Amino acid sequence: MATLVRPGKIEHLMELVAFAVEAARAAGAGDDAAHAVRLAVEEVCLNVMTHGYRGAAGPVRVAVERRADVLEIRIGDEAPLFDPAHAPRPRLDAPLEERQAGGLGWHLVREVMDEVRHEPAHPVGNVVTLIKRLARRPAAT
Amino acid sequence: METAVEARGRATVVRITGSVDGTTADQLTAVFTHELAAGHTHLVAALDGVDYTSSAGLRVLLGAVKEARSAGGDVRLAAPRKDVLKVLELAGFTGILKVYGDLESAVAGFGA
Repeated sequence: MATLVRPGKIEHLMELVAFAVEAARAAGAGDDAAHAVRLAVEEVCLNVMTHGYRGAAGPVRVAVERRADVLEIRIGDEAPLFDPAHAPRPRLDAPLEERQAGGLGWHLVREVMDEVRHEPAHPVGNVVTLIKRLARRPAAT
Repeated sequence: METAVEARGRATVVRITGSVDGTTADQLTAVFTHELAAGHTHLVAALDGVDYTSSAGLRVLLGAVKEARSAGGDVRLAAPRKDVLKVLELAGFTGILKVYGDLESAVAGFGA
């Protein structure tokens, strides 16, 4: 499993994202899956940095693993407990004046990933697991 | 990310190149804020050079278009690439923003 841990500061955001995309590509992700990984990992990590740690610098851990036809990305932190299921749901059909930016990040994560799971970490923190199904690898000959 | 601003008829074109993400969005906000404060409310964001946007970019666009429309103008989008268009669609932004296939049409949309 490929893993990278960095302080939860915005100057490390792109390093964490690039690491996940590279690991996903090495695991067989094509262009669309790589874009999904880039977007989802940025959204989750940025959320941890800005809303979870609020400027403090706890660790952010990104781990990427392929199991059969599934790419599994785990993002761990030591920030206060936050279940993304509780993020506000953007009203996509609302007129412009009523549109809010809140919740757009988590909405995009849910849209581009096949599954998004959250569990508390012990003793503190969160683990968000992103699941992306990949095309089958060609059988070895 | 880099930006360049040019006047085209009634429109002000903001050409954006590179990635709009959590580390570059503030820079883009500053560009739109500057143009709107200067009274340039008919804005076209030329996106053909943008390879990526996250919700950070959507947040910038949402703020800019609200402010432009309240001043009687608009922010219109020109020539988004596939991945950027996908994010705009997933967020429901293609229903609230005018998206054009090319820059000329977006500029012409504001009239001569």
